[in-house]
Amino acid sequence: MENYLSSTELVEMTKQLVLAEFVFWKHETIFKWHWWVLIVLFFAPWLAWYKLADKQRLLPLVLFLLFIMVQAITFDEIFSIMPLRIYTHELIPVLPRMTALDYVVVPIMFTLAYQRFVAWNCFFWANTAVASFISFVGEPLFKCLGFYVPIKWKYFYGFPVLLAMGLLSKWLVDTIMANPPKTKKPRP
Amino acid sequence: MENKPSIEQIAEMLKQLTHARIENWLGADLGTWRWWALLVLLIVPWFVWYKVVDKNRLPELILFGLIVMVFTITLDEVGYNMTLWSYPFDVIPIFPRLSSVDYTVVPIIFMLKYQYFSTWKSFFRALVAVAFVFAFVVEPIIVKLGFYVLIKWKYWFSFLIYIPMGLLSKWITRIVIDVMNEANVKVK
Repeated sequence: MENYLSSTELVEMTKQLVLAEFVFWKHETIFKWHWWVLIVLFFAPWLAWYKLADKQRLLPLVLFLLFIMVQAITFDEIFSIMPLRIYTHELIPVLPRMTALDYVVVPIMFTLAYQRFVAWNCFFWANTAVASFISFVGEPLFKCLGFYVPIKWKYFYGFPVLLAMGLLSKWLVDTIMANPPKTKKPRP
Repeated sequence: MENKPSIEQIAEMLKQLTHARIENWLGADLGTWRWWALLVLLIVPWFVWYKVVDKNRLPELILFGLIVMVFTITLDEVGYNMTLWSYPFDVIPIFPRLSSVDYTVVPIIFMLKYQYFSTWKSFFRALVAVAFVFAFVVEPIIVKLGFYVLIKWKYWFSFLIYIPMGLLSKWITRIVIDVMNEANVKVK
């Protein structure tokens, strides 16, 4: 007999967990101030960003934004599922992470730094500043406001991940946007 | 189950679920042929993609691919957590989705389709064909092979989701590029 639970039992546990999260969300989150804050954070930054974005470089900027978004979604999910920390209030209850931050706030903050600081050494410091701000100002603030409960979380855990996310994304986008390699034989 | 659970109870359920998932993965998944198959599917298609991708349109194609990726990782997660479907096997145990398909297979197939079918009309036809093949050929096969279990799901629901996902991704990609081109024309 196996000493682990079957996939069917895991499905049942997932169902129970999501149901519990939903009941919590229905009583404690929706239409309460936490939820309104998340709604604003999900929509408002796009308007600000659309004003600030350099339209002439929109393609590389959006590429950078999407690379950050995919990484933020993935890492936030890893941290939340392990769980190193747990989010109390969410925009929608089924995603095990902070939707407004992963899809909007974090990508837009990094993208503004990427737009403003083109040279690598300027970007490096701007990126460090953004990662520090998120890790050491944003996170403590969100904890105070009751958006999440740390389980085995330290603020400096997120910092190297955020730093690496910014640097990797800039490298990827700059590589992609560099002139394509000339084909050896021009096509007829 | 209408009693409101506390956040501590939710954290405890999540902890147990993640623990059970990892145990199941270590016991039934890691090192099996299914696990190797998923690992190959996560990595190998990127090499093939790199060979066939049109390097002259790389930024645009990757932009489209990343938008598709954000959709697949989000939608797959929503369905999985709502227990509409389930994946008994995964490369990494803690993600509530099939990583290989969401991060690699679907974005790559969609990118290639975008590359080869540039007009809206041909793109739409190709999209319907791809959605049909995914929903009614690929999904039944991976169900037979034991990678995928439908719980409250029908193949044609998938078919109906792939189509707006592809159209919306192409539409966003076009907007980004058109806004950028317009901004550049204005300057000149």
